[in-house]
Order: sequence, then C-alpha cells, then structure tokens
Amino acid sequence: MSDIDDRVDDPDDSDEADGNTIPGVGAREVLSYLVKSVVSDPDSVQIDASQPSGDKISLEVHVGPGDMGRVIGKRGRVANAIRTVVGAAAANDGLRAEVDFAD
Amino acid sequence: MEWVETTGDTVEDARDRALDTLGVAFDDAEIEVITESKKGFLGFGKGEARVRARVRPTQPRPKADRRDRGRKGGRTDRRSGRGRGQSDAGGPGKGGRSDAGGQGKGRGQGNARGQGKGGGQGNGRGGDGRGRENGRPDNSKKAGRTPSGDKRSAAAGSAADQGATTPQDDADRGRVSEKRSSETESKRQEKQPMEPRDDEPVMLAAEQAELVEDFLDGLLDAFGREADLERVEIDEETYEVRVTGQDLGLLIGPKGNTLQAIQEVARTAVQQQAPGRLSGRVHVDVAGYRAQRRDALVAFTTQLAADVIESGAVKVLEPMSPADRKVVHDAAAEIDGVTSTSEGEEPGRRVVLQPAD
Repeated sequence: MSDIDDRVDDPDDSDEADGNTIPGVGAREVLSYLVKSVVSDPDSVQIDASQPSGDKISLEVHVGPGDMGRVIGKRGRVANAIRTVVGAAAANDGLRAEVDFAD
Repeated sequence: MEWVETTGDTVEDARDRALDTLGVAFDDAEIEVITESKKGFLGFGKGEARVRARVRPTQPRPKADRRDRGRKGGRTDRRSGRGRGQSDAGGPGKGGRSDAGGQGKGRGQGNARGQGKGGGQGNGRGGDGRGRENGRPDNSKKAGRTPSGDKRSAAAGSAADQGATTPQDDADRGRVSEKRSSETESKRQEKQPMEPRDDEPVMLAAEQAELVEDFLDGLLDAFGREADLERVEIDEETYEVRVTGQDLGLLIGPKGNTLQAIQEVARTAVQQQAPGRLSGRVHVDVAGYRAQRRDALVAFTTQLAADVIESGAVKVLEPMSPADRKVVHDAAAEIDGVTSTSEGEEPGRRVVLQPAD
C-alpha cells in the first residue's frame, strides 16, 4: 500500500508545503488533465496561466490543430463542463478560475 | 434499449417528450422524425409531429443482431487490437458479460489499475491485467491510441463479416433520419455527422466503463484526492462508475453540477478513445450522490403527487436534468391518480404533475 500513499499524497504536499507554488496550480493541473483527456494530441496541449489578481486566476488553453472542436464540444458543452470542474478545483484553493480556449 | 415513439405539436415537442421518456439528454439519444408537423401559419392544429427515439447508439443495429453476432466476434478483435480488452469479455454471450460486472466490483479491478501505474499487485484479472498495462502505461492515452488504426480495420472487417445485411439497412435508415433531423433542427448541429457506420465497431458500455474509470483515476490524481472506484453494471446498456471516499463534495458541486460536468468530460474522453460508436451509457456517481438524489426525488414526487391528488391542483416542478425528470416520471407512473408531463425548453424544462382524469 505504500506505493499508493506516495502517489496520492504527493500533489497535496507540493501544493501546500512548497512556498514557491503558484496559486491555482491545482486548477491548472486539473485543466491540463481534462483537456489532454479529450484531445487527439495531448502533447500539443498547453495551458498559459496569468498572474492571479485577487482570488482570480486566468487560464488559457491551447491545443493542437483540429482538436479545438472536441474541446469545446457541441454548443460549448464540453468547454463549459471543463470550466465547471476546473472551477471546483480552484475553489478548493479559495480561488476563482477563468478558462479561455484560444485557437 | 427500446424505441419510444412520441408525438407533439412540433418535432421539438415530440422530441423533448421522447428524451424525457428515455431520461437522457439530446446528445445521448438517437432520434428519427417519423412525421413532421406542418409549421404553418396556424402553428399547431395542422397535424402533430411524431418521432421515435432511443438511447444512442444502440444504433443502428437491432438488438438481437448486436447481442448475438456483434458481440462475440467483435470483441475478440477489439481485444487483440487494443491490448486492453476485457478478459471477461472474451467469454461468448451473456455469461461473459456478467463476469464483467462481477470483476468490476471486485478487487481484481483495483489490482489491475495498480499494475498499470506500476503498483504491480495481484493477478485478479489474469491476462487482462497485463493487457491493460501494455495498452496504457502511466495513464497516457497515446499507447491506447496508436494501435487503434489496426483495431479499427480489424474490427471493421469482423463487423462486416458478421452483419453484412442488417447493419446496411439500418445504416441507410440512420442516414435518412439524420438528414431529416438536421433539416428540422438546424440549431442542433451534429458535429460528427453520422456516416454509414456499418463497418465501424461498437464500444460496449462495459468497455466504456473501464475507460471512464481510468479517466476518473487520473482526475482524482489531478485533484490530489484519494478515493475508491467501482464499476457497477446497472443493466446491459448502463454502467455506473462509483467514486467513494472522504471529502468528495468538491466533485459533486452545487446541485451535482460538478458531477454532471465530470460525466460530460468523461464521455468526451471515451469518445476520443473509442474506435467507433458508443453503445449504452456510463454514469458517474460520487459518494452516492446520484443514488441519494434518486431516492430523494422519488420521495419528493410521492409527496407532491399526494398533494396533487388531494387538492386537484397542478404542480409545476423546478427545472431538472433529463435523468432527473425520468426519475420523477417513473415515480409518478407508479402512483394512481396523477399523470406527469414535461414542459419548457432545456435547460429550463420541468415536470408537471396533474390529477389524472
């Protein structure tokens, strides 16, 4: 079971214990994971984070050619779902996240 | 999953009614317009629209065909192509399927996941565990994806062998209905036009559930949360992946919004990895939220129905998701003296309870 402990506890530790961590790293990690899960080319996924102002962080998603449609989904359903989940991750750190999908 | 047939003043009405009956969102349903209402100057009164619908995509292959042929052979191909097929799926017919459910529940599954991550415990799934490991090391989808071309053609070949005639007919029908529905519902654009799919493999709910489980596993990592995952077969077309553990309210969100969003992304992720069409549905539940919500909705409906019967007054409920509306409709159908309908447009569509005549 020790392997499980290592894995699961790591992200938490680095978030909180490491003073250099950028606020919203949890949200960013979740966003990155979600986007990579739905694209055909995960290696091209890039997340740009702006400096947080107050409790708000802005995250900008870039994906490879042809993948934006999938990320946005019919009538923006997938994009909105991603925003909702990322919002939950950000709220976990007391932040609000704004997610933009840039082409 | 059976077809349901509904009518309405407009195609949209009939369609919404059908979606309520099925309890799924538009994107999860396959809808055929049987007759269109005349959108004349008089609006309604010029003849009603009739549609039929079923959960997508039990598509377009009739149930019997899919079970008896699509299954056995198609699965074998999928497995060899992907390196992650289910050993449970190898068994022909329904026996194999119930194994799938059982394994999903047992520890065998958890062990297999651990292996994929390098945990290296347990042989609960026998050859299958290895298959997963090869197919998807470190949660990356690429390994699973690369061979998908091979798999596609392999499975395609088998599908063609197995169901040469019937799927063709059905595919034709599917094409026609797609065209018609796009004419009548221009606002609902299908991003992936339904081409003839007689040669494409179908990914069954059991297999989707595995992918959903993998997805959730990674998501929990990204959230830094520890939780248990369990796959449960609800019926042949429906699996539920249950996340249980401490402190998971974050993943549920207000009114289950986050949970719903997670399910939406999970579905998209599965589509991304599926070589062909998806058959059936996989629901995600976190900390028993859905089950509780279901129970609460049934109790709520029962209470409201009693009020309606007593007072004779119509009750309009708050807007709900299609799945929730189905729960209400099903509950109301069990109660003598009330009938239930739905009104309004998504996402504001709501159930109305009224006294039965």
